[in-house]
Amino acid sequence: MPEFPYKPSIPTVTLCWWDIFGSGHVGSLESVPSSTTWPSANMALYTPVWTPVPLVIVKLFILNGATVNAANNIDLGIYSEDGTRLVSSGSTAQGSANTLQEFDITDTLIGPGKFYLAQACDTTAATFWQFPLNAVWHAKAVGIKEQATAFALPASATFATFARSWIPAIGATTRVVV
Amino acid sequence: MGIFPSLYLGGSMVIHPFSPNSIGQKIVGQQTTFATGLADGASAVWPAANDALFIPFSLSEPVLVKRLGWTNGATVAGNVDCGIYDTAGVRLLSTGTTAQSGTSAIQSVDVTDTQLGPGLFYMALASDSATATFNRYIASDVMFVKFTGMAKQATAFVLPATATLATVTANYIPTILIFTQGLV
Repeated sequence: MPEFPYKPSIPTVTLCWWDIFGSGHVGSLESVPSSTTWPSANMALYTPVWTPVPLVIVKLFILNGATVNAANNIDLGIYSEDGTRLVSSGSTAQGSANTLQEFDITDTLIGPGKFYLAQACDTTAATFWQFPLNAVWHAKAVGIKEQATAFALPASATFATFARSWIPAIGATTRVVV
Repeated sequence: MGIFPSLYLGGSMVIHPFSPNSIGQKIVGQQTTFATGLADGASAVWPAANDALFIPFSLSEPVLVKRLGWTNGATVAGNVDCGIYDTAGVRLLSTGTTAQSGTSAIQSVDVTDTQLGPGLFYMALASDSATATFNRYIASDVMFVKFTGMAKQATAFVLPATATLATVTANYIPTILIFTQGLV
């Protein structure tokens, strides 16, 4: 608790890891996002965000890549800092290519505090828009974690060191219209 | 204004989409470099006549808004309306219809001094012309514009008393300016 007057900033509708309410980019901003295959079947990735004020999250969303298939399944969720699942969409078929796919969730009050936005996918056939990085440490410095076998998203996450050179674009919103 | 150091956003004299308390980091953060992000600013025609675009921003402390503005592109035409909405879609203030004037320059309008904040708001811009141009920025893809929390409304000129927000369809981020200064 700061000893000086503290007026928290307010997130603007959406939360994502590269915003000021995430970790922001670390290192250079290497290249624009691109369509990339999911690294491993049933893997979950956890990207950190924070909010200084309470927020009611009503939807989560990701960006589908160039290659999609309705047989590919995705699960999105929110975890507390200690790895407890607060809410998840449940297994959902991947939607259209190169579009933002929304996942309606139970309206969930989070914050203030630190959280993870989680994405899991059951196949490497799926592609998503992701941020390429020049080095794995850039992603580690963002605070992203992974879990090898985590589809559907587990009630408790077991965080492991991230070993990829890109980070998926995943977001949360307080507004029904995305 | 506090005399102690404080950690908050919203005290800037000018607030625009690229301010840290708006969508700035979400846009800059997905560009290749800061230079690329800035280089993408260019004159481009308004997405559609009578469209309004809404860009979220937050205030951690009250500010007194004195002027609203935007940046015109290389060709001016028709009329513009610029305003501010709350998250319920209620219009709090606006310039009213204003003939677009002055190419490649900031155009601003004096508004009734209005105190805003703290809270979450939308800055809004509408044009009734499909040939009017504004200096606008783009994201890597329209999907990343959606990521920012931006929204649109068709058939929204002049800016309506109550906005009905819809999903954005254009990769188009205008430079809307909220001045707490009387002099631009």
